[in-house]
Amino acid sequence: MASSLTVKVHPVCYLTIVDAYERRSKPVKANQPANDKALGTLMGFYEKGAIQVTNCFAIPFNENKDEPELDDSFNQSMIQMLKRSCPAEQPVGWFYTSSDLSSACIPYHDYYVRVISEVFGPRKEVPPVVLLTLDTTFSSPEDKERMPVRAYIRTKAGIPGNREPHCAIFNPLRVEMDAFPGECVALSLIQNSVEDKQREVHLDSGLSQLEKTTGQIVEWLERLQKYVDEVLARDELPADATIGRKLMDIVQTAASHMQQDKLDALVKNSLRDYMMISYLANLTKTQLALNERMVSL
Amino acid sequence: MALPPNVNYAQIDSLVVMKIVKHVDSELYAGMSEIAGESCQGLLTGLVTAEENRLEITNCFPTARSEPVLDNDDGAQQTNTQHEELKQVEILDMLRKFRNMNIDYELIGFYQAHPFGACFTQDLVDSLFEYQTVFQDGVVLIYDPVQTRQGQLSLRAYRLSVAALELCQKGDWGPEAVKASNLTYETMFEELPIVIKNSRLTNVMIAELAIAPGKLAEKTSAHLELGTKRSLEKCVRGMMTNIDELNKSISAYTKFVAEKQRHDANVYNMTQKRELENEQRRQRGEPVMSFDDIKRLKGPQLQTKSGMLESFLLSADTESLADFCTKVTGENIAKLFLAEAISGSDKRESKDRSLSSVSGR
Repeated sequence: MASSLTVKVHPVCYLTIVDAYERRSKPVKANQPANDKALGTLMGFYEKGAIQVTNCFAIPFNENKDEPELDDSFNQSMIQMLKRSCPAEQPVGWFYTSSDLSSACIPYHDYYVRVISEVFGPRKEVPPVVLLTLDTTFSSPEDKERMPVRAYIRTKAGIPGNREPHCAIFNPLRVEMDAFPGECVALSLIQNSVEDKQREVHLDSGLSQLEKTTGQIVEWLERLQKYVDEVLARDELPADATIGRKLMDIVQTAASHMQQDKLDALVKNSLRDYMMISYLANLTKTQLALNERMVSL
Repeated sequence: MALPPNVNYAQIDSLVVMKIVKHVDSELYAGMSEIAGESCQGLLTGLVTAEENRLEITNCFPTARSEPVLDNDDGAQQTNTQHEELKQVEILDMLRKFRNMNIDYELIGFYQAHPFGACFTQDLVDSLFEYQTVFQDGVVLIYDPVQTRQGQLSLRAYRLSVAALELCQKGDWGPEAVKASNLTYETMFEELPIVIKNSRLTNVMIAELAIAPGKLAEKTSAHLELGTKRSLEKCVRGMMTNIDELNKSISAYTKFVAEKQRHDANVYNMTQKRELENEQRRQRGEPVMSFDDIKRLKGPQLQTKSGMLESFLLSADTESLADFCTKVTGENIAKLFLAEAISGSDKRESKDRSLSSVSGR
């Protein structure tokens, strides 16, 4: 039941976690080990079969002593403040930048279960509390370049027949990225920075974006064509049925959506409208410029 | 005297971009902005790198939207001021928390979301003035949710120019003062170029996200959509109301100019007359009359609320709307030609996926 849940994380959370990790606190004294991690609260809402994580924030904590410590008042007032600006959100779990689950996770998780059950009131059943980990150590043996994200939920386990469960297990959940339409647009722009040497992006303007995507479409089409030609030409290459079906889909949509008469009507109707609006807008700008000159005379 | 700002471009963390976009989008998702009818806003924090003339915006947080006041009794005013105070306390509290978490905690401006980027209002000028007097490099980031939904992220950074700041300081937007400072609506706001920058670890994260399972790829073709008529319609409507208002303020200005001319002629005539009279009096040995009463004659007033500021703001608003229109129509015409070209050649028609699937929506 619980393991069929999907955690849908919005990109802003990932960026906040990374930022929180980069700004983690330095050791106060020289010989003291650093608080080399970031920890915080995930905000979001519950859906059917999924948990949307739309926001998060880091909180101060300390795990160098025997008993791990969290700043509860900081957490509570942050939750209150975020709720006022975004009433739909509520705490759904917590994040931790760690490669594995240490024993410290248990008291933290207990704390968050308490926080979330307070929100829901004492009578209702406590909804699942998510733990999201981000491995920033780049130490996993098989994939050194990756920064894996994992989500867990705690379930009780024990021998049947016993009343009290023996122990708790952190069960992994499926993590997906989800985004609002605007977020997708912003993210795809930001993704350009990966290829930039300065790690910078400039905002696209006007037709340059259109030009770029048209180029991309042509490139993809050429690649598809090459693939199809190759499969047809050489017998030893296997013909992949799934790709064939996908190609068929493309052909289908094109045939049903791009009918000649439909498109003609669209072009005929819209083009004139657009021309008119463009003319009016330019006229307005001219008038504004004229007015400007008149006033400043 | 207003200090000249010492930055000439804004560098924004991708975190800030995502946070702003998320704030506005989740409000749209919850359908709140339509009920309250108020723009989303929040505050920006960061730092100034003076050597490189750069303003770095490294974090931001949304401010709570003000509660709608339902009844207009005497208590409303009081709760409003109470609410303002509470807001101030909250902002300070948030900044303290930022400081606690090693985040830059200097307030450097604010952000607002405005459809079509038509953001220029009296309120904006007032708050910008407030920020820029406290912190000389203060800016406002304007985010356009409509254009972003159409597939192109739109963020602009503005600040008041020095001349406009000085006028704000004097609080005099009369025609003479504006003319003396050589201010026009184009020079009232300065736009700063924007660069989005990622840290190295963020870049790793973003690369990780690019290959993560999700529906991102399907949603990124928004800028190829052929039908953007609704937003254009709204934009043109907004332009029309703006033009009407602008007309009013222009006619007020014309009236003022005419009255001013009449007044000037009047004063001139009276002075001439008085001088002649004085000449005669002097010949007769009588005492001369002073010009004081003529000088005391009041000139006409411009019949608008805030002088020239109103027409400036309307002009700036209208221009941004017109810019949006020309841009979108230009793109749409290009897209239509593109679609025509694709359907024209049989070879490509059958395979073009992203264009064909969106044209049917």
